[in-house]
Parts: sequence; C-alpha cells; structure tokens
Amino acid sequence: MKPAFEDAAEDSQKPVHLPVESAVPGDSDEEWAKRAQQGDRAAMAKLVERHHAAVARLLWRFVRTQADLDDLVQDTFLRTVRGLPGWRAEQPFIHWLLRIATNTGRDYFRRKAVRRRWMVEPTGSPDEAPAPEAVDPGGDPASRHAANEVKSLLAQLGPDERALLTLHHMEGWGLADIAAQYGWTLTATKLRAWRARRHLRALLESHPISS
Amino acid sequence: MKTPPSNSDSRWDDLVRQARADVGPPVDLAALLRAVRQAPLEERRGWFTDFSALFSSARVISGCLAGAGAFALVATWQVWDSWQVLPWIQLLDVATGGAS
Repeated sequence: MKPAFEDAAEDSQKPVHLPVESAVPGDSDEEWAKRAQQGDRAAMAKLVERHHAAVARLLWRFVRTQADLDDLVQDTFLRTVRGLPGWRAEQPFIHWLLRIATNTGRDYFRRKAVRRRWMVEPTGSPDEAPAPEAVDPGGDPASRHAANEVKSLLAQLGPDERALLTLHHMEGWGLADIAAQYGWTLTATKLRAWRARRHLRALLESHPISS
Repeated sequence: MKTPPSNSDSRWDDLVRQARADVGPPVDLAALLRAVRQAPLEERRGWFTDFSALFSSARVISGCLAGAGAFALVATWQVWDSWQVLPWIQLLDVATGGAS
C-alpha cells in the first residue's frame, strides 16, 4: 500500500467536489451574483443560503470548534460581499467563493501560528488540545476523535503546509487544485507538499498515533 | 524511488480515512444572514469610475513625485554624460592662453 503522504502528484487531477449547479434558467449562481453586484441584497442572501453548507463543510476541516467555524464562515461571506464588485462572470461563482473560503482558512492558520509564536503557551495549547465543544452529539464520536487527532498533528506544521495537507488529506484535493486555490505554481506546490510530508513523517515518528 | 510503507503510514491512512467521515456542526444561518445583510454591499463600478480612480489625489501626488524623481535622475545622467564628453579642458586652455 502506498503511504498517503508519500507521493500525491498522480492524484492531482482529482476533481474538487462542488455543489450541483441549478439547471433552471435565470437561477444560476452567476445570475444571482450579477444581481448582488447591482446591490440586490436578496440575491446575496440567496447565494448565502445556497452555499453556506458547502463553505461550512470545507472550513470545518480547518477548525475544531463551533465558534471558530461560525467565525470563519461569516468571515468568508463578508469577504465575498466586499469582493463582489471585483468578481467577473467568466469565473464560476462557486470556484471564486471556495477560493475565498480556503484563503480564510489559511489566514486562520496564520493567525494561530503568530499567536503561538508570540504568546508563551504551554504544550497542548488550545489549538492542539481536545476541544470539549467540538464534540457534536449528532456526529460519529470515532470520526470526530480521528479528525481531532489529524488536526492536532497538522497544527504542528507551518500555516501554509498545514493548509495544504488539510485540503489534500481531509478533503482529498489534488495538488493542481490546491495550487489553483492559493495562486501557487504547481512546482512550488509539489515542493511545499514534499516538505510538509517530510515534517509530517518526522512528527509521526516522534508522536506515534494512538490506535 | 518510493519509501516502503511503514507501520505509522498505514495507521495514518486509517486515521485520515476515519477523519474524513467527520461531519461538522451546522452553522447558524439566521445569524450569518443578519451579518451579511448588515455588510455594506457596494455596487459594481463602471469602467469610467475605475479609470478615474487611477487619478485620485493620493495616486496623483505619489505619481508626480515618482515622475519628478525619474526626470531628475535621467537629467542628471544626461548632464554628467555631456560633461564627460565636452572638451572643456581644452576650451579652458584656449581661454586662459595656456596659463591653467
């Protein structure tokens, strides 16, 4: 079996899972986004209603608590509102929105990294310790525990590496998709992925996973 | 050449597979909509507005300063170049009758 963090370049063509676009004429995201660009608040609300679940699902991979998730989803849509005048219809709205979401997630990692660097936090900082509020009674506790363990390990990487491996491992995105999301070249992304996997391997050797 | 899979690799694979099944809690849509409605929604500007924004006061001042700096640099370089080429030593010699 090939290790998950050994060489993921071959699966870089794996498509990003996107919400299904409406087939009704005049009901496409692009139509609603154009209306929102003209200042139509109802159109913006429609876009939020339509895509908040997809954005939340993606951003849940970056956070561990409901409060952080709410903050990031809100931040993503506020950035979308601010950036809407610059959106061009040639670009599918959902791609643009998910790009904002992944950048919001990466910025969250960067803020966490800065805070960890400048604040003297004991080992097992709030970012790495199990968060009690993250346990959702409706979810599968085993999956939640596994997700928390993966997030704890990735939290020890740099923010860019952490974002890259979060999208690659947790969302199953290929390197080409990640490169496109963050505006990196594919070569730079492969190099980052290689470094990130090397760091992850070292982490796994020093902190074996509890089975 | 690929490294052969170790025990920690397969455990990591299992952990990731399990972690992918994790579903996050639902977001508070009502609060999200409230926040989005309160955000100022800027209308898309036309090309004329975008073009005029290029000449906003802050940009004009910095543009003038950059232009003046570039002009001064080129002018100094040209004067220095001419100064080097001009036979001013010989001219001075002729003017002073060879006394200098």
